[in-house]
Amino acid sequence: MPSLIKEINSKILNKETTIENIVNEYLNTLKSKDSSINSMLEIYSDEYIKEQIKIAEKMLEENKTTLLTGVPVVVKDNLCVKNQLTTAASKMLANYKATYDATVIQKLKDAGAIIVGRSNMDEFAMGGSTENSAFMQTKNPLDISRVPGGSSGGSAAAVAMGGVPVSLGSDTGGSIRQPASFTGIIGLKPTYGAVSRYGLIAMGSSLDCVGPFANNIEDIKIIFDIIKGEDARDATTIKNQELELINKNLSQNKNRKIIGIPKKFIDQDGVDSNIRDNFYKTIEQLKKFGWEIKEIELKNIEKALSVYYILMFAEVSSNLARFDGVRYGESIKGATPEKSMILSRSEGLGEEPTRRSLLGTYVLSSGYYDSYYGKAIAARDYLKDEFKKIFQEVDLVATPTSPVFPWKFGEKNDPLAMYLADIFTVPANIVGIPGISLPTGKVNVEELKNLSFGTQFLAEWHNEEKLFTVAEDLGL
Amino acid sequence: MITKDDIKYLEGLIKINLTEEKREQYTKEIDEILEYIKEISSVDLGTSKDQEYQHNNIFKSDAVLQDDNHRDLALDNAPEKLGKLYKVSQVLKQ
Repeated sequence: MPSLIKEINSKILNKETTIENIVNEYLNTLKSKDSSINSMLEIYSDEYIKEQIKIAEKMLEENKTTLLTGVPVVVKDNLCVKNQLTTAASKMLANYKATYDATVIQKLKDAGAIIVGRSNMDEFAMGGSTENSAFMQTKNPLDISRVPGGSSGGSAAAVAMGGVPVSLGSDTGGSIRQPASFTGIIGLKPTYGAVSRYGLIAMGSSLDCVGPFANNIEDIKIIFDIIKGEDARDATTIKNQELELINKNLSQNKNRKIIGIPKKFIDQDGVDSNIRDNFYKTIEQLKKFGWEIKEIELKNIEKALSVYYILMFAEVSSNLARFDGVRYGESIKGATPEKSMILSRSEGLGEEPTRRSLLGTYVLSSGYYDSYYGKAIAARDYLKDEFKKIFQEVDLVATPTSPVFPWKFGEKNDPLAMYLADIFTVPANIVGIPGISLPTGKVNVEELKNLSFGTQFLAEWHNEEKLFTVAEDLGL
Repeated sequence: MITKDDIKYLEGLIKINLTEEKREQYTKEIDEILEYIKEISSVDLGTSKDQEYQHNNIFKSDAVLQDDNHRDLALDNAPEKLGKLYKVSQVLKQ
């Protein structure tokens, strides 16, 4: 599929159109489609958008453009954009104006991108349907009776409906890949540490990753190249020097094309048979492009969901402790400082953040720490070892992105049932490897028509390049 | 088995008050979730550990990287302020 970014870039450079026209065309689509989709919490003021267009125009005048100059971008509402509301779709932060730009935002701005608005999401990125937003429900552009996935549902929907060529989301347990799959586009979760988290409102700090959505792989690559890199403000970003060494090692297997299939994991109960069929068909198709298919076994992968949820609950309970109503956010005055805090938090935090804070505090409490958190930390290292060994034999591990199709609004109201839908995406976050969801065909079942299949590919740490290769082979 | 009293105790720790109805709902849901994640205890931790994954600390210099006006911007979000300071209710009794 052709790159939308490159198309915009060449039109601008050839003076076929102006940056302002490009932005206005996209904004018109975004606004008109959003009357039924609700992907955006806010489209920024004309003034703020014009300010950015001016900067991009100046770059054009001075021949300092990048591929992204003049390209409209939507960002998930948990990325800080200076002087703009940044709410994480929570009542807690409904009036919070970010005091600085997240590193990824700064990088987009430096490249001349036009950030046109902030997209809807599950509150604090907790959920898989965007139904947990404190403000509104986003509909799936492929079928408006169904959820767009989540938690980055708004960013996925905005791209899927053609409102912007590209957007940013965040992925803690599948929050980029699953909505990409649900809306029929591409979503990349980079290697943990490849992209700075500075300015991303934290959910699970050892799991969170920022990454792009697009409808073609070239645009994904362009955005990834711009947002990645070492950042003095995020100590978990990989040092350039270390990355050089890793890339040198990775280059040894540059031309190897072996896909590992954890068959037992994929054939488990609860995976929709249409999804499984499409998955095996997709893999079969890849043989034509020289990919060798190998059945693999990941011994502890079925426990990944428990490991993920324990670690995430624990990190959530710690990360959400900062919302105390003293310095910013929802603030209700009580008789004592403690009472003020209780009033503010009870009013500001929604159902899922509260549930996860309770669970996280439980698994970290004395007497349970060793049997939950301690065990999960140990299991995480073992999963890492397993993947490390597997990647000596194969270049990619493939699974469906989601075991189920996007559900109808309100259909899944049991939190555990919702958690189980993350089964294929959480392993990448636990071990920190990159993953991508690729659209692999339209669904041919009457009541599910218009929906799309998504296949997930996982690669070794910092080997995003292999994910791009398989996407190119699939014609994306 | 988690009880309503356990949830009440946790509410105190996370500084959130639940209504009786919500407490009941959370007790049931959290019990189910804990029942599921209990399987963690059966993870096979049999083989030797790879040293490379030992966790280590990363340090950085204690340098200010913020803009000059960051303090003003931060204070703009304050529910209550006094000049260039946050205003909070009295913590210590006289």
